[in-house]
Amino acid sequence: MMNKKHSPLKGLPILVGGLLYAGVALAASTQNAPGSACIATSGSALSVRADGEAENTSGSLVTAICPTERPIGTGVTTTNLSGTVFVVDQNAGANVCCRAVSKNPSGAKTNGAWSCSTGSSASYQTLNVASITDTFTFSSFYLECQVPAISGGNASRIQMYRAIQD
Amino acid sequence: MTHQRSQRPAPFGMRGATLMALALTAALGSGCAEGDLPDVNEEATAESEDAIKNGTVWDPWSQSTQTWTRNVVRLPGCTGTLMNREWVLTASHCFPNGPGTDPSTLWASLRLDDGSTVTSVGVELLFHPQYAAGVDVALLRLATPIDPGVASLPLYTGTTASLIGDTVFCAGYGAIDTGGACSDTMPCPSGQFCQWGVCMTPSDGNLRTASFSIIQDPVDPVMWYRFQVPNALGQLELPGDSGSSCWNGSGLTGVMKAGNSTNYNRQTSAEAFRDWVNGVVNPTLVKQVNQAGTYCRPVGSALVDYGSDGEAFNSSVFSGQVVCPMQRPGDDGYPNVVDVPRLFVVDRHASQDVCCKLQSKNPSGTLVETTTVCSSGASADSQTLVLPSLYDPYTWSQFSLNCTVPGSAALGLSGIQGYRPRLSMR
Repeated sequence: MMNKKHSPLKGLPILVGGLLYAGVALAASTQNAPGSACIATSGSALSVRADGEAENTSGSLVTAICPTERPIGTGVTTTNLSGTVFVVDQNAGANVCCRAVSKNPSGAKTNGAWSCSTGSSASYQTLNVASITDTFTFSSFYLECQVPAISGGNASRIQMYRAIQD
Repeated sequence: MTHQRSQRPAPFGMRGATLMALALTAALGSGCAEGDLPDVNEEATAESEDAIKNGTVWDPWSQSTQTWTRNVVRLPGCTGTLMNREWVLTASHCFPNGPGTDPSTLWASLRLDDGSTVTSVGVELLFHPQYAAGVDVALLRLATPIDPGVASLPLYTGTTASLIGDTVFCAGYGAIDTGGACSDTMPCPSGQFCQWGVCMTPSDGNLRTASFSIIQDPVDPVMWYRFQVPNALGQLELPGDSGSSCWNGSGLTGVMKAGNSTNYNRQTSAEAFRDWVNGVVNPTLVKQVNQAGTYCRPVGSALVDYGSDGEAFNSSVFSGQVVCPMQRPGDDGYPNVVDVPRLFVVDRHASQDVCCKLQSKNPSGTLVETTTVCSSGASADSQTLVLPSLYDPYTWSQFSLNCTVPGSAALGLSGIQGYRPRLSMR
């Protein structure tokens, strides 16, 4: 199945097409959400932009939690989480890194591998977040991202994220 | 402008561009003559001229029947029908520049109960996929929705064949036939134009109606039907009625396509475009949720106070902006239509309002926004806003609500109580 109208994203046609195919045909649940849905962990803050994206305008690294709804028992119960995060990394000394996480109220936590941006640019980069598995039904799923501090007056940011579950 | 009388009707689209008003005149007039129709006699007759002069003006708001006519709107050179508060059904030939016509240059105008008129420009223009093959139908989405007399209108669900012999009630803003003959060498008086060898005046702004009996179209009995015209009252549709609809008691039966000033009216039958129109006007619901105001985030330096009841208020003395994110599911394809049929706000500021719009942002940078909808007055009570829909087919785009909230005032804080995103798929 082809995407009906291809996104005008530059330089990612094959990657994007592949992800779209996988997301539509295989995943039990995929969700797009704006960066503004992410919450900075205590002690720090993300600044929300008018276009729905979220940036770190502070002088310190911010850890952001980007939640997603996990389907339970309504036709499907998902146990795997992966994702895609579109970020802008404007810090030459640090990267934007994201990973998949599941957290059970019992305290058990599953952390995925970090996926990081490279270099420093005003253009977006795509982070493919590796999959994790958690079969406990009371676990919550989210993506965790580290957004580096503002650098030279340029803030790094999370544009949007897609959580993929199956 | 004058036209030489011809044995073959010119494409109506060209004429539609020159005719300023479509109105079903006393005799409904569809200015569309389209296609190769050897059985059409374009010679004007005295009977049709008289009948047009005797046409009946129709005020939908003072009539207790045919209330669907409260949804009939004027378009540039044509007539349309509001299927709901956003979508106008009309004929594709009303837009001679084709599907690439800039919808923001178009408008629809509805006369209200109090005699006033409300007008909105377009934001999206869609031609039927088979318009070039004769399904002469288009849909215009309004940037600022207009609440019509009837919240939504259905299309007739039967076949074209089942309409043969039925009598339908039609309404439009076509031109008015003055009865005077004209030609290149015999132009019409000032204020009139020459069409089909007859002098006509643009619509006078009055909606006009007529009832017609449907007969089979000899060229394509499924895609089209015709009217037995002129009717017993000598009525028929004229230029400017193009795009108008008719009602048979259960739904809109078709869209006015072509005609002449004497004995020929053709409509595109609902059977030919029903599925397409319904798919656009009533997209398949994918997800509808209620979200608390606590989902909303302050933009930049705005200050938001999240109350214990799940609402978000601007705690600054200055106006502030908030963004309220939405989750866009992609389980069965990504929904490409989003609207917010309910947004509950509290506006306690006497001179400023809570103003919101929907937006879609693609990582590439493309930002699509709806028009802004605002609260009114100042009150501690909740107000309900309804935001127009937004269409974005790009699967990497994310949706959110963008609101400007007044600062604190004597009555207290203003803010967002909650919102209901509705995501659908065309």
